Amino acid sequence: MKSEQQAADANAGIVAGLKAQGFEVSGPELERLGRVLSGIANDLTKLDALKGFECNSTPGFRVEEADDDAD
Amino acid sequence: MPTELTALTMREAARLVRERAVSPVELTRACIDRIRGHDAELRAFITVLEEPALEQARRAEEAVMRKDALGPLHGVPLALKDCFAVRGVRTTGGSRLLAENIADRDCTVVERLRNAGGVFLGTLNMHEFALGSTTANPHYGIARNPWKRDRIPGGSSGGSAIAIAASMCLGSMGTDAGGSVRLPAALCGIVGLKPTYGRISRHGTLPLSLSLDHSGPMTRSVADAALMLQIVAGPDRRDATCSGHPVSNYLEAIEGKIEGLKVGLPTEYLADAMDDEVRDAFLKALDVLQSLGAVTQEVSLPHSRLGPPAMVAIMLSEASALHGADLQTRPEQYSDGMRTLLYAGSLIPARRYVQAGRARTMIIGDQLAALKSADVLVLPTVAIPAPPVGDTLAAVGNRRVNVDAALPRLTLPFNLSGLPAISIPCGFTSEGLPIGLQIVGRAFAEATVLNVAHAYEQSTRWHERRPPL
Repeated sequence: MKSEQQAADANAGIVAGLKAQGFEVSGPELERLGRVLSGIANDLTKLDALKGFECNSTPGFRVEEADDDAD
Repeated sequence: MPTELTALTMREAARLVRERAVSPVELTRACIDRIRGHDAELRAFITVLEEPALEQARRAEEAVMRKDALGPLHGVPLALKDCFAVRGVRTTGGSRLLAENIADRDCTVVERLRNAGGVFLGTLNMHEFALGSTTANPHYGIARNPWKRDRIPGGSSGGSAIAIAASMCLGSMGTDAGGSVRLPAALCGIVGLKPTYGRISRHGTLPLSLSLDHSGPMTRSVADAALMLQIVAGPDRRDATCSGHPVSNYLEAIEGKIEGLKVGLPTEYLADAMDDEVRDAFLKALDVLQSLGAVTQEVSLPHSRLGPPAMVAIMLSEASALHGADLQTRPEQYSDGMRTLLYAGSLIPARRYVQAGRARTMIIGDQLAALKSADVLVLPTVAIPAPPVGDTLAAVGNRRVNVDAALPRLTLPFNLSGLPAISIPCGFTSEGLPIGLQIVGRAFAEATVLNVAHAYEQSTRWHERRPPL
């Protein structure tokens, strides 16, 4: 469980991050966003399974190059 | 042939129109009657174009009587997800933000369907800006599954799936960034095809996530999906991501023979949480494919667990980038849920987006490796049947799973890879809810995917069932 201080700090970080982009959030919407972001952050830690330089190809999306067996 | 005009497939209707056995006006009126009878409850439509559709149908009828050359969809009533621009009609994306957004030209998909003779009945309900899987739209109505009205139809192209299942139109197009064509198709018992990334132009189609967005046919039969793809596929200089790869003859390809076809079963996805009745229907579908001569083999997609977080990072980052300016100036025009997700997307660190790109590359590599030894991959489209409207958790055995995460879990890997995938009906739960079978192919091998789907469809009767309306 987050302490009240930790929650307040997290919310202040969210507000600052949004303000830098021209968005303003407060009140119940900020609390809802905090909960959503917490779930997303938790989910995204799974991407840390990619260690160091494990991926040998360039990140991106090039389906055309995979087309050697197409009909 | 079904006696109800609105239960015809597009191909049957087009043939009957050509043979002067059915009038386009009669067909269009029959669809309008269905819309009038059921849309207040099901909420499939955002805009109904009753008079313009009838006028189009009258002109189509005159062309038949004059013995003009007729397109392959001449006089066939269609309706499209409300994110394809139709000249003179509002394109809302299911949003309040674009409630008055009147298109000044047709998008490429509409242009091609119009040239083929299609009659446009209206635009269909969707999850707000396609960012979600329920089509519980706060601005245009909570869409309901025609098989059981307390259940969701799936989304984001929920209105398209409802309109076809409930016989309000004969064919539709949806968009699919994480499963939005296949998922509602599965939950409503129709056919939904997401072709290869770049196979169909996205010019004039409202985007959600530029590297994940696909458009695809939603129809009553696999042959109809082949016909619709034939019409809309192909290069378009107005969309830089649209491929110049040659377009196959999809209707010729669906001859229904799959003897010796190698079918890969992705073990990681099949081992995960799945409703028992969905699993049973899937295993029975495999029996059917085997009885037709297909050979099944297990394949491994070892990075499958990276799919959902990669999808979240990419989709929310790309969506928030697209909506940034409107979110600054008109935030109140978004629903609370949509606005929260867009704010969240704007706070995803760049390193996560880059990590997601790396994960995506590995997921693509897994799928291509599996498709070296197998001709197609098959798996259920959705791991759970349609959950009740408003539920956030669903029971799978003795586990409770998050509905928003469970719905696209088996469809999103093929948005990350861009490979073609179709959902076709493969059974019903004891409660009478449809179950979908997903067939995935190599890049631009839509002809193979459609042929396997057609072979299965013609060996079963699931696609002939109609919801109790």
